Amino acid sequence: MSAPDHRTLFTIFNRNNPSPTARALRNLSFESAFVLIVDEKNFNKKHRENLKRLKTWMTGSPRFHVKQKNNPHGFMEWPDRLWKDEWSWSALLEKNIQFLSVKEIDISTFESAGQRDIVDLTSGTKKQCADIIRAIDQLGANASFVLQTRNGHTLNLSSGEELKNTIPLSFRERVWLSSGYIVDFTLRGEPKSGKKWSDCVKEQTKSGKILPNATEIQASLGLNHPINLEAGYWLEHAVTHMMSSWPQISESYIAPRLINPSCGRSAGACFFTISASLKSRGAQKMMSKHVKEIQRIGTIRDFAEKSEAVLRFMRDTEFSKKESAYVIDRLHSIEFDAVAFDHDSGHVYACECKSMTSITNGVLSRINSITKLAFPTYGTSILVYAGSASATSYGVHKISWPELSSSTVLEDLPLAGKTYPSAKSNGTQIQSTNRPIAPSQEQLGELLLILRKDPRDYVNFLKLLEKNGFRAKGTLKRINQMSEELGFTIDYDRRDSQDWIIWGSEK
Amino acid sequence: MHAPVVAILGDSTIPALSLVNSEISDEFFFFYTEENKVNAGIFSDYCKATHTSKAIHFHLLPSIVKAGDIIGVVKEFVSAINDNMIIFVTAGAKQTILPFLIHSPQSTVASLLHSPPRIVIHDIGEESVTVEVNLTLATILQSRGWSYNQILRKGTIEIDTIIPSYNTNTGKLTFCGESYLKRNGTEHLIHKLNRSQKNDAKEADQTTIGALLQIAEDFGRNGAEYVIDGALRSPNKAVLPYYVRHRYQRNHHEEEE
Repeated sequence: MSAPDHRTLFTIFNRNNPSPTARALRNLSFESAFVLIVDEKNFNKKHRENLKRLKTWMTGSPRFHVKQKNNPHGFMEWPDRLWKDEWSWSALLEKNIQFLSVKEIDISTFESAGQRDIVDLTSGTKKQCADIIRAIDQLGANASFVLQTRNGHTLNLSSGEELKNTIPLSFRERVWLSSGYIVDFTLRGEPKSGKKWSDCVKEQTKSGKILPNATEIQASLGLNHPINLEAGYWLEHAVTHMMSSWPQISESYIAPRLINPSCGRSAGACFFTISASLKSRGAQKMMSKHVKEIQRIGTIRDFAEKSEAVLRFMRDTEFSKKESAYVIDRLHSIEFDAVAFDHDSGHVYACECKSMTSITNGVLSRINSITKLAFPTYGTSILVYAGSASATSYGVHKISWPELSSSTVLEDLPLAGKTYPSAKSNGTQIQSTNRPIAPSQEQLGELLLILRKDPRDYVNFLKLLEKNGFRAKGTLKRINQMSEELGFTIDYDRRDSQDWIIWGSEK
Repeated sequence: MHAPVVAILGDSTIPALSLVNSEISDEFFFFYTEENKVNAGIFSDYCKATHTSKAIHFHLLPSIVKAGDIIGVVKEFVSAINDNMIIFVTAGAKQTILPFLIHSPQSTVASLLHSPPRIVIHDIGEESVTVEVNLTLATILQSRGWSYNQILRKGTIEIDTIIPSYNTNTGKLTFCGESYLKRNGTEHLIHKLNRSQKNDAKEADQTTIGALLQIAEDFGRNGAEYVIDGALRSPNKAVLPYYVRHRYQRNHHEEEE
């Protein structure tokens, strides 16, 4: 038995997703904790990585998560100017938490359990939990059994009492635990602004687009710059603010970016992203002091030598504040247009925003794919657009943006489309944007280098192409044609995973 | 082994069905939450029709989101039962089944294992007892109101693109549909379809996937294996729900158009 005032927490490590274990450690009050790792010997690579991520989460920062010196993608610690302190969270008192590897649940594990102790049964199979309950009973320990509910409560399984968690896991922590990415964002959703977007005058163009009245919403939001309805950014803002006003949403962010925790990988991919974007005047101006060096590195033929030079450049260059911000904005592998967290159901709504009236199935498939990648268990894909019909299509909630003013829009979605009631249209004409073109051989090669530094699945590679203003159609065939020259092979069956391109020797 | 069995009726039918078709007891208490009301009604009809000699009771629990209220009902039930009981831990969410054990920790515990399908009974301080499970496809379908004779039927619903099967060795239930291209023997033409053929394939495959999803509503996402067999075009392929498996034997390298 432990000392009378001492409270110990017993919980099982959830090998498929460490979030429930983290929730138990964060929300329960204890002096010491045992995290039982059951059957660790038979853990696969994913289970081991999940355990490592949980341990990193406890330290409060993913900054030093990747530290193997033999990392083939280039080891590099996060330099101060490329790291933001806000990417961390509150640490747990590690010294009080012990990881206990056990072959199976055994009565001896709980010999020290006493009346004040807590057993969290959120993780583990039901049979394992049953074994724990019976072991505790056999010992006469009379400990409390609790479970973390998806809506952020600790449920006492004996009394039925539910306590709201005071420090729920933040969005950043949840993403880290479930997918291992660092989250960067600049703006949060604001319910006040959401109400203004909901109440603003909407106009339907001749092409069927539903747009806000730009002058009116600008005045209502008190902005001193006009809203450009021809670029799609207004919709990201509208969506995030409108969703933030739903009672069940506790956090929402505009355009959060997900960054690989390996600085070597992220910085390497970022370098090639910057290099590929130097064709634009804006990028040239921003990186004017470094253009020559970037171009020099670009001419290095040997990939290993080039990687080395890239890392040196990213690590040792004294970027100005503005340049650092520009670089940090390009470190990510995945970007969502908007996300919102529902504290009632535990769902993360990942949104893609398209200021257009027709959506291709490819777009729907892409948003679904990246949602599953970042939030495998509780991710819900939403596509918000300027069209008029809302429905569920290809597993994605396709929503006409004005309908986000209702917090029950997702539950009310019809299977067949319903039409947004046409407002008195002012007949605003929106000019069509230029059609994207296929990348040149050289441009495609540059983008493949990003992929080499920061592997991502095929769908995300297509997204990268589109983001750089290129057409994605027909790309695979062209990549295949370049494979011999660049020294890689394509595994067509593994396009859903990050290793669909297998690089040969470091040429 | 005549203690009454307490179990949750979950999304999947096989666990509850295995219990009533085994000889582990003559009395069963099935609990179900608001969310499983419809399936519980059908299962109750099935039990009334086929297990007349057994005492099978059904009890409604509050909604799964009212976990505290569920525990109140469980406490009341456990305090009213004086005898030993067998708690079946395989079915139901943790917050519905574990409270039974917490309030009656001396009870016997039973669980369902597969390959081969069997119920294992664990009594404190005693060797586990294994009871074999013998189910048929017709019984499984009947327990959710479905039947199969070339066509899957439930009331007015008829599905002719999905074939159900039950493997008695593993205890796994499978619903399988063929992709449009496989059905027509044209898998090799996947990258040579014209626009109208692409549309036909898309529509047909969406219907097949839709049928699998409809069946999954009744048998549970984890209660059966849902398979679409044969070459599938994107985006149908890319957006398959995680519980629908795509099976495709590739004979040649695929290239994007």
